[in-house]
Amino acid sequence: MRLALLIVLILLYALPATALVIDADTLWRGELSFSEDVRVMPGATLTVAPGATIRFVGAKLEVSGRLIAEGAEFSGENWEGLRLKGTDATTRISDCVIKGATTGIFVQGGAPLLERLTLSDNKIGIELRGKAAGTVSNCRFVANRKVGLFVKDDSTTAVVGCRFENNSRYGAYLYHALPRSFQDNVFSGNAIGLMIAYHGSDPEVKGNRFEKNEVAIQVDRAARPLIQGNLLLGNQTGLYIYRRSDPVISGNRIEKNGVGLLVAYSSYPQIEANDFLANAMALKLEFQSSAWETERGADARAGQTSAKSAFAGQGMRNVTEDDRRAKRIDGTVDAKGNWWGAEGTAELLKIGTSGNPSFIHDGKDQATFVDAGEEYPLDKIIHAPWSDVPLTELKP
Amino acid sequence: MQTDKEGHFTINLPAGRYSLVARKRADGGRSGVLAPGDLNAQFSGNPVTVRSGERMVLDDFSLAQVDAGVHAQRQAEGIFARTETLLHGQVVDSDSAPVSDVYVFAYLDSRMVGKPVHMSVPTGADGLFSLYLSDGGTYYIGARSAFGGPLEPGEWVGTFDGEADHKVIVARGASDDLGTLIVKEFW
Repeated sequence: MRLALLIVLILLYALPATALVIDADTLWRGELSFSEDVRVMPGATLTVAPGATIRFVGAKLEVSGRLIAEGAEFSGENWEGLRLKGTDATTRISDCVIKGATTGIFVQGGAPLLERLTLSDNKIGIELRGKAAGTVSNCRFVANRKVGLFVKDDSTTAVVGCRFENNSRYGAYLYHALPRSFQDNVFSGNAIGLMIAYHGSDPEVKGNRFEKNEVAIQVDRAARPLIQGNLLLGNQTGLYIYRRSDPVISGNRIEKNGVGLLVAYSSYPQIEANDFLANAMALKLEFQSSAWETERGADARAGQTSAKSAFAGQGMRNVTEDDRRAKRIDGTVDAKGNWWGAEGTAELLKIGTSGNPSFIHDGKDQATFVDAGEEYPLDKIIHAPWSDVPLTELKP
Repeated sequence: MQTDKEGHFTINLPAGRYSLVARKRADGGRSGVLAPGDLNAQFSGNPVTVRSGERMVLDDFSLAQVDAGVHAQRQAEGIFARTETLLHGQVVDSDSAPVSDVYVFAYLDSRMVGKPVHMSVPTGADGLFSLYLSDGGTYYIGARSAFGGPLEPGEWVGTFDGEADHKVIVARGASDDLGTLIVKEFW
């Protein structure tokens, strides 16, 4: 009897399933392989048992009903991943491994719960779009080829307690998304840990840790997030504020980075109440000039307006030059009220408020730069008054 | 414009003549070709003429599901239809590697905005495409991952660059090889 049962199971597992529509409650367990798409229809629940190993070859699992998976592995060859289409919070994927897919989990709307997952070696680990809500918590995004976690399209999904490690391009990318919480995440070894890009991308990024990334956080193309209470430690560049971006950078500990904070191309962040410690260069301006912005900024951005074809490289939704114009351009970047470390503070006391600190690179160090054959003055940083004491309680 | 929970909507428009449609895509998307199961309705009173300062209250839209059979037939007859005139080639990245899941589009307008007149089905793993045209003529050729909407980070996008303005002149009944069409990822 035992022998007979074993033979049946082996045959079942070895046979690849064909096209499958699941329209009644179904349980998957053991090893299964599919070479065509599997669709879970509205009203049906697919439960994947702990220990199950599910493999797709040139196919995907598409869920319009409900998926409950715990402790399973999803993998395959040339496979597209899991697609959750409008699934609610009763869809719950926890403690699973999803690897090798085009997009490990693609969430189109809905509010699924994604917990303690490992997303590895996918092109994109998880993509959230279509005003998705729900939660991504305590997940690991490891060595995904493009993006670990891509949050788009007015999605409000909470992202908490996740680790983003060694993703080739971006650990996480926030594009027109406002996660209702983005905190307690750890980014390490990524090309860019966290990218926040484009006008209308104004999330709050609080209480995260960024360590040993090439760039810890990049804010680009007129995004205006709040970056608060984060630890940025040992990155090549801590914060890269680029192309007319005006974030608020407050209460962060920025320590032992190559460049703590790099500001470029007409960006005017608000930099206050941060601790800058032992960075090779604490704060640096690059191609940053109010004169350039006044003279050329609008023209340089004109090619990106929504009237242009997508084929001309425009990627913004109904953004106008008024939306992107700098509110204050007087040749300075405001960095008053920060703590520059014990050594920095000692230097500041020595050189006075009008001195040129060695840990800041601005127009006092490099008077001009050249763009399109024209010379433009590099802006200056206002660093005084400064704080005499540390301002954060963050620890490495 | 999205309806509210009760299905109501308000659209502020400049005076003019409009054709109204209502659509709900099962995948939640905002653009692209309708698929079986999507909801679709043409407003029965089309076209609607709105005068300056006028507030119009319209009759209900009657949504109907896109039928799989009708959809397949329209696909075969529509912009994907096989014809005697076509452009073909391969979509590749800057390292000459084939790129999958990219549509190739033909426009009559050199600005390449709005709806294309023809489009290919998405490329497969080999990056090969066939773009069927209803007739010979002058077309402007582009390629991207998505159908419509603003360009988004992560999308592939490119143009036919055999001519500076991305133009191709094709004779009726011809099957012309465009060679490789290079796309880049937009971030």
